[in-house]
Amino acid sequence: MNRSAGVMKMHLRDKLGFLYLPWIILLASFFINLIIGGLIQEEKGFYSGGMMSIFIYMLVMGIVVVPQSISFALGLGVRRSDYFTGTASTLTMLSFIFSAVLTLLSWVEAATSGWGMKLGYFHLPYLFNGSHIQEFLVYFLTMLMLSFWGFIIACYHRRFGKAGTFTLFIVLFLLSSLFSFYMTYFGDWMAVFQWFADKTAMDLAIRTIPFSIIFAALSYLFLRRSTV
Amino acid sequence: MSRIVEVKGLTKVYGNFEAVKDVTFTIEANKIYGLLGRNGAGKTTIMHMITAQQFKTSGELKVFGEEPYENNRVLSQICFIKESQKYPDNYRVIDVLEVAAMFFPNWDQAFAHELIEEFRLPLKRRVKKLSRGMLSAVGIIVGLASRAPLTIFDEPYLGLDAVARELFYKRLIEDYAEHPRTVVLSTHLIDEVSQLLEHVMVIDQGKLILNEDTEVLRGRAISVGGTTSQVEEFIKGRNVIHREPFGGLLTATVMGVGSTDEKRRAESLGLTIAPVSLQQLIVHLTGGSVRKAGEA
Repeated sequence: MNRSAGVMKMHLRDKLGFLYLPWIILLASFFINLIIGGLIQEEKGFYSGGMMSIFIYMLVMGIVVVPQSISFALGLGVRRSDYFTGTASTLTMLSFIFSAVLTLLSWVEAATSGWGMKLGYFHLPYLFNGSHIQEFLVYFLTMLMLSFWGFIIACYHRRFGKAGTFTLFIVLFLLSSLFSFYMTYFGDWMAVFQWFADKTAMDLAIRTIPFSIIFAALSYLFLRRSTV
Repeated sequence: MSRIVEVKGLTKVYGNFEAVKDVTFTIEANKIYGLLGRNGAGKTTIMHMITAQQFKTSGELKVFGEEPYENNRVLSQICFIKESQKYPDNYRVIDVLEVAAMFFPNWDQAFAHELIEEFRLPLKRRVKKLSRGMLSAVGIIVGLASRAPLTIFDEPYLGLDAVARELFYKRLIEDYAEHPRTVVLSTHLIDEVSQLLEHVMVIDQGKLILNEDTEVLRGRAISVGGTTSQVEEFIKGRNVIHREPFGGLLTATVMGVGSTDEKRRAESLGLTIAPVSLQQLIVHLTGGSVRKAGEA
């Protein structure tokens, strides 16, 4: 049988971590917001940023999946490349499904004028720009980038160990300090903010694609040389 | 194919520590091997390299005639069960079995469930919550049910009680008879497995110091017993590796008494001859270097 598909099934057997938990967190936050919405009865309605939780969860998922499963997979004689394709496919598939569900909930929310309480939880201005397809793509590309970001951190850690990860973060910290100093010194921060402010959510989402690809490619290279 | 594993000058260096030094051996099809040696001798490292879970520093390594690294033809034929195996946190026993079933082409699910019953494992319990012995049993069940052409057990029975260990040996032998395959057992409990092993390899401080068929090894020494004076007379001038006095009696283990003539002479002196325990022999041959492990 196809061993990459086997790796996907291996991940998805852990239904709690991969399927239930992100939605338990998201829906718990949603229901609290719904109750608050019912209590305060705001005339103009109100918005919540609770949907962020599932995006953060995707980052965490990317980080956690590797230490959870790679020793087990290699122990069962899975190739590193099959482990990579299986895991990358799992993250992509989940990003796709989760984004589709979020888009659907956004549509329902809009159709029921905020669940009858004028609550803006899934249907948010800026993220929704008139088209549900575009909204879906914004969610999907963002989740993809976040989960592969987590994945590359985990693969890097697998490859270079604690010392390597520690070194990497010190270097990143120094570089970002230097960058920040440079930006402040030359007064360029406003330009950066302006650049972001000018972009639509879709503009930014499309710009995550090269990052996702680079993260995936480097993750693969790190995995190739990792041991149990 | 008769040669399952071919290793030539295999070396593994961590920093400036040589874990495996220039090891050369072959493993043939359908035999049971014992890979013996003390903790930290390099056994696990060698097996990790055979299964491509770790990288060799130098040397040649062929498994089923090919390089094992990223090679599904090789990897799908190996099942490596180790004491230190980690499982995903949320996995239950049943999850481990179902997943293992996907990756081993010869997997026998009915056999796995039979073994679950015999080892009394709770199928729905999380692997994380199992006791040490139960955790070992999970590995053993995967190893047996995988029916992989090359099955490697590395210290598979940490925490396992004597009954379960006996069960493991019994099922291993039975299943091995029905479905011949190559088995490598790495262990401290030499005496317990000595009846199973057809070939013995001893690793000490990263070096292969003994590589011999069990029969040949056994033929190298015998144990003679009788009254002290008779035994003393017989063993005079011989290489005695072990003596065990008991009242006026003495049992001695002597090297190099393989020929029938000598055995006849011993018998004519009224001595009883018995085969030697593998453990004693190995302890002797390795200059006591596995003694501690053997006693543990």
